[in-house]
Amino acid sequence: MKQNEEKNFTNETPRMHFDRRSFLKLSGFGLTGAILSSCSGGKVDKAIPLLIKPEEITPGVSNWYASTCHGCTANCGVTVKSRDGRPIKIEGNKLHPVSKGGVCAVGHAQILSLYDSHRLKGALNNGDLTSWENLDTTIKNKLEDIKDKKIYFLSGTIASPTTRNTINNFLKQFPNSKLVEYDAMSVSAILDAHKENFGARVLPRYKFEKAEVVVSIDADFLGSWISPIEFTAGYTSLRSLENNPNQFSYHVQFESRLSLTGSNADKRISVAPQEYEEILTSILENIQTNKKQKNKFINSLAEKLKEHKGKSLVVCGVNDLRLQLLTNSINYILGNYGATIDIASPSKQLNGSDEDLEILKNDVANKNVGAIFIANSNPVYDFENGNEFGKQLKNIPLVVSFASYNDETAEFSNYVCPTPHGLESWNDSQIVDGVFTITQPLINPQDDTRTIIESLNSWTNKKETSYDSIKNYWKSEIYSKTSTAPTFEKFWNKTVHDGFAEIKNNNSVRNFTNSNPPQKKSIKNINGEFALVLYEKISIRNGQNALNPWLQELQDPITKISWDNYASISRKTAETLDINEEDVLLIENGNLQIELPAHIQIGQNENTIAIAVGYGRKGTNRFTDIGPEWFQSVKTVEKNEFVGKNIFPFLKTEFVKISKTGKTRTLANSQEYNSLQLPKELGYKKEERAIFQKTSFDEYKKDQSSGSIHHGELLSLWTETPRGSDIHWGLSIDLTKCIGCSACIVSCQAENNIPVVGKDEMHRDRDLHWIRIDRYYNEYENELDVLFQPMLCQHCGNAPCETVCPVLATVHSEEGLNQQAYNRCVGTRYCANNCPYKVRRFNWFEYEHNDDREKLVLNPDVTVRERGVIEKCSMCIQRIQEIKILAKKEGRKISDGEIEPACAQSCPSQAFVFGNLKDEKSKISKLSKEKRAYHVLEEIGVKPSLTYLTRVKNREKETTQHG
Amino acid sequence: MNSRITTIFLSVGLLLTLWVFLFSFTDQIKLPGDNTGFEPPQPINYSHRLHAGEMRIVCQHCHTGAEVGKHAAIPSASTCMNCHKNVTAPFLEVKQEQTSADMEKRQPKLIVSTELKKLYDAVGFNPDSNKYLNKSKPIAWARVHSLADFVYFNHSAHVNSGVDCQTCHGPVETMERVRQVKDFTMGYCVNCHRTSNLSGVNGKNVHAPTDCSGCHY
Repeated sequence: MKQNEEKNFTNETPRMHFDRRSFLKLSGFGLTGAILSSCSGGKVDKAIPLLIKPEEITPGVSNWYASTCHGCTANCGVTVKSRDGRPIKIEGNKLHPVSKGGVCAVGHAQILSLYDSHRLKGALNNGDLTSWENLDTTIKNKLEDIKDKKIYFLSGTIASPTTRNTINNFLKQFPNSKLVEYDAMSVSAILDAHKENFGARVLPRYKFEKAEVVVSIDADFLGSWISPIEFTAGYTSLRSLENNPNQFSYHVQFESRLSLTGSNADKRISVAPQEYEEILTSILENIQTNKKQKNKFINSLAEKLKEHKGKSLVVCGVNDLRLQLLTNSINYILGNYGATIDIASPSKQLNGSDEDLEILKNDVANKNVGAIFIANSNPVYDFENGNEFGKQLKNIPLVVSFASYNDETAEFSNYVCPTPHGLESWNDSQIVDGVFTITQPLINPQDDTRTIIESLNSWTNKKETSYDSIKNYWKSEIYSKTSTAPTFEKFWNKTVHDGFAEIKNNNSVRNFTNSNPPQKKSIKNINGEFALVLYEKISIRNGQNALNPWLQELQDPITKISWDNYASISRKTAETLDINEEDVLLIENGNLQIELPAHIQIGQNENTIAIAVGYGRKGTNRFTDIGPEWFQSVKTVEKNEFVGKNIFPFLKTEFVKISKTGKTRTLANSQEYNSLQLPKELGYKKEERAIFQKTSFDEYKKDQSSGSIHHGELLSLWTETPRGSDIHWGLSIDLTKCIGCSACIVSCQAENNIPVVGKDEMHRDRDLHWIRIDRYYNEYENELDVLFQPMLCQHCGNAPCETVCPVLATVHSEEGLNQQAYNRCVGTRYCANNCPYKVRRFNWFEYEHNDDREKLVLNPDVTVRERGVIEKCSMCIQRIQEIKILAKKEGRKISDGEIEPACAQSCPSQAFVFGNLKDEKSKISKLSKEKRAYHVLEEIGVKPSLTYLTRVKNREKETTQHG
Repeated sequence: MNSRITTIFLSVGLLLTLWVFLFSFTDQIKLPGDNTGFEPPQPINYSHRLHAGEMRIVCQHCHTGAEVGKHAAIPSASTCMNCHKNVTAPFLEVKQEQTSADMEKRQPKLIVSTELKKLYDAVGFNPDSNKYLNKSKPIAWARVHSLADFVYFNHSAHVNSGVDCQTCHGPVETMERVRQVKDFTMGYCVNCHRTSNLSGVNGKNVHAPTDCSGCHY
């Protein structure tokens, strides 16, 4: 038999033959050999201690320093965790008067940008690395030559008073110089409108914490407008039932695309951008003259506004002077100035001027410019005529860019003076009039970089560091205005410690003068054209953060798509033009053309098409090697391709035509099912599943338990195991407060060393985020209702995952936590299959950082998981242990609220509460006994430690019934 | 292929591996990850016997991290220099030089021991002028005790509960060169946690976690 076989084989193929015996022999020898040789041990690791240990640094102990976030111009207050000399985590500064302890997703991700090795390594002279001395001499000589010509300093909004002062001092030397500020997504019209009405070009500070009725016209104030964290904190403070169960603000949103803010509104009305003016005019007419309008809803809204004079707020996010003047008039008549709108202490977060920018553009086009300095911005990328502007820069004798990356603008500049990351250098900022903040560096500049202040100082022959300049400026300009601190040093030390200083100003309230709105624009509406709406995503924003892989991988809270931008069209448009999801569309207006995949978006106005800006950034082609490589893998981007497409050339385009190209492009959508009702395959039911419980404020006032469904005692599959500990950790999530901003996702990613998996893996639903935000679409009175539900490990008392693990890698702790021991896990994935909440994540591959320097961001208290193990939310067990050890050391009990998981710490609306369920006095045990409290999938009897609180919206009644 | 030749070849290979393993490294069979007896040479022949044993300097005088943090930490060279700025050689040698200098009626010479010379080179100290120079070179010590990356161990939690250093590290005060004494396997840790929960540590009641998440996260 054996011989026959051998013959057959040798006759046909001359390959090596192994029978079962020799295979076993071989593997037996091999295994024994491997075990024995691994026993030798004795690999010597080096441990290199500091030669001189600074007093405050102890290896393995983290220090926290106050600083300021530079993710966007909102400049929120943060505290940064530094461990063994490496900053590793950004969290909110709870003392901060503006951001109040919240940090957004972009802010959390800044810590990864810090370790980006793709930043410029040093100064560039026409693309080649050069020394700062050479560069300084060349620039100074060139400046001498063109002294009398026009010199521009073009910058994004400058929040730093010292930087502004330094720039002004620098420009003073030149008779014909000007500082021009602009914002890629401009709000210039708001400032211009206030100049017309109040005589001062200011951006008002909106006080959502005082606004009981909020009407927003296309202003995404919870997502990306001006200062989202500040607004979220204010907005949710009036929608917090635990503090004040009798008060709840009313929010109406008019918008054309489905924004994060619109999804949270009590009433959302989908309108095309052309209709905004009519809405504002009719509201104004009604409150001015009491004249009833055609639209019944507008009338009732105007009545509500009139009832809440001085307690209402109308905001408009459209950069159009006419609309902004109308908004101002409405707010003025309602008495909101001085109440919900502060122009005595205005915001300094955006300061761009479209008018100045137009003059600059003309001068550059007409070759009237001798030198241009470009800072905090990327005009070649984000101007509507960026490429043309870039070519025009070639005509200017001296173009200096302060970009940190070799970006689109740096490419067209003669000299690049790279600036360090926000956490590598001293800086200051004035967020609102009266609040000054300090940016404290956490690490020395990793590359040979210099701040704008230092560069300008060396060109004016001043040998001052950033730190000295800032300190001197504060001493002469800011300290003089305070009267609280006895000496400047004390004032300075307190400011650096706290991260901010509040200085009262005595600005008087300005008078309102009516102004004539500019001519009404003629509305053209050619059949078959769509109004184009450009918007900022909460992750990528205006493109400044496009090189951050955490933000690229963060799903959009509404569309749930990551790693791409796309054209959102309404379902009706898709049906009429026969467009399917992921069909590539050609979007055109005259010579402008762009191809983008289509995304069919519920809630999108049928006459509009919405596209996110910030994509197609130069440098995003580096993500080509992100994610694992295997035989079926698809690259996130091709080598010569960028993530998404740049839509900024369409910035001034109002209407576009769309057509199908016949191509398709895969979009990484991480949520496939969007409804609370069962799908057809599982026996469609009209009743909604009780996983998301909701009620209206009117019903809640009558009965606090309205909307919540409890199943009572059910037959349990598990026998109860009493646990001896007097601790049972629990987390509650208030769905009324959660706005879906996704800050928790990135915070968790930074805290727990969660890797980036790339577009292809995201598309295969293999994302590794420990917390996801499920977004459901529902119907409310024939209108769209959007529901956000953070979903993470529920730490079930009777955990189904524990029952099925064959190796006991996941078991229960005494303190009610569902533990996952990575070193024991063999990767059967039984637990993930048996998890009713689908929150367990599997490491299909070794997901390594595609940038070696980024490894420095890893949290040394959390294991980096390897291929083949399951991971999931641990309720930030490392933080629990840290505080437990600290309390034990100090011989005390853990106080309530002392432990905060990463998701809870920086939640701008404080939707998460963590604590001990067995402590009667703790906040969590009170919340879990509230009438709104419920567990998701209570009926299966797994006894989760997570409690959700019913979502309440300010509506008359919730018409739908739960099943 | 002749399977007999393979068998012979592999057997010889196996015997060779066994021989190398048995005679060149250790005298006992250990499981992978068990580093008991590991005693690597150090860049400076620092003697714990002398400092902790003979001089009776308490462990945490130098290992300051043990009380406050996760790592006991190898002390920074500046800690050594607190004493060794003045102590440049063993007492007996200095005394001998002093007596011979007295007898020869001359100023005693400064004696610098070879091991302390290495320390001075590292911190950039000139013992003759008693001044620091501006050049330094960190000392790369060989790490003796090392736990797997998936284990979290916190010194301060143990030290503050009253666990003696010697419980895990053995009689370091008798060792000329530090050697790992205990195997530091999970069984070793968990057994101690279990017994401590029952009988306490040094007469004190303690709560030592036996949950997975006590150490693994």
